[in-house]
Amino acid sequence: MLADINADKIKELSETIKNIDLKDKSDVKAFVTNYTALIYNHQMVGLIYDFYDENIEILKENRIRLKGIEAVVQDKQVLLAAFPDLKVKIENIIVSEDGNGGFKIFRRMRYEGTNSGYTKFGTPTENSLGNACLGLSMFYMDKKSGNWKITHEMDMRSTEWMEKTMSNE
Amino acid sequence: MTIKEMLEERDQLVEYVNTCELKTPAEVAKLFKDYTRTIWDFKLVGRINDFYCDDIIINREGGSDLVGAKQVFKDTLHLMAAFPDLKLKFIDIFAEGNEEEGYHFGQAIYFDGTNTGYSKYGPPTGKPLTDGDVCLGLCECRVEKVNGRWKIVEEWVTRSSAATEQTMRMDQLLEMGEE
Repeated sequence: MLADINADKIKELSETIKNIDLKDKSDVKAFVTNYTALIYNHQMVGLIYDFYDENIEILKENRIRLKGIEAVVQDKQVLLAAFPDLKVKIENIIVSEDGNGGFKIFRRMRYEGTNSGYTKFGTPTENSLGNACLGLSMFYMDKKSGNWKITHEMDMRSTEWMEKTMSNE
Repeated sequence: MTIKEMLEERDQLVEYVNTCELKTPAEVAKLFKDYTRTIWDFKLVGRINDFYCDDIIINREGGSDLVGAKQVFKDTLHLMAAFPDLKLKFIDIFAEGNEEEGYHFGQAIYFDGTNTGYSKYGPPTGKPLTDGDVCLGLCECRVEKVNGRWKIVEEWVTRSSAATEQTMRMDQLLEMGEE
């Protein structure tokens, strides 16, 4: 049964990011790959609370700034509600040590999915994102009170393309 | 800053760009920071030729990809003409890779400037790009040796296109005035 396969996959991925200790670049790349898959491909949005600093601010496209962890969760929920079958494909991850025990990460990925959920633009269009929806982000990870957290982030996606997909204009 | 001071700063950047051998990821990051500022902050636009490949592929938002260095020139000159006081602000840049296989670097920047020049959207609006918050831009570049010279062969870019366009559109101002 598909649900069983998905349930097992989520458990498998969740196990890889549980109590993580990021020692080197390969650890970071594995974590980012699995964490990204869990959040987007398996709708595990609640895991944002595990790995984002509570007071994080995320700079986004077009002068948008998400303030606080609840705004980050809401941002992802709105996206997943619009594209319930959303899948992201990571194309590349660049990792650099920050010199203070933390890491700087640059992630490039593509969003794929169909607008089958309601959005601020109205009823679902059933339009597909195709494979042209680019997502780039730069974020920093540091250990805070013994836990690895994303402390700063800049995150951009092809908003105009997504809005075009969600509107029937 | 006086012209003399400005030229001294520029020449330091140019010197590094001219002599850097790209032996480490840290050098690559510094080189492309200095190089980008040379073009944008000091308007040495022709230096695009130094590191952009003739047939560079630029992957942009929504699949509107560009091919060729000529497009880089066109985009750069258009933005500079619309924002004559344009300055590029680096938030961060870092790289990975080696001399044998080439490098990838990622950068986060924003532009600061005022639309006092004509653009494809019409006459200047006098509006600043940084209006309340910054117009963020992210990009990743793949750097490889082509015919013995280091070149950017592929680029992935996301820009705050809607906000940038809004800054240059007079009709947005008129609509606001009518409200």
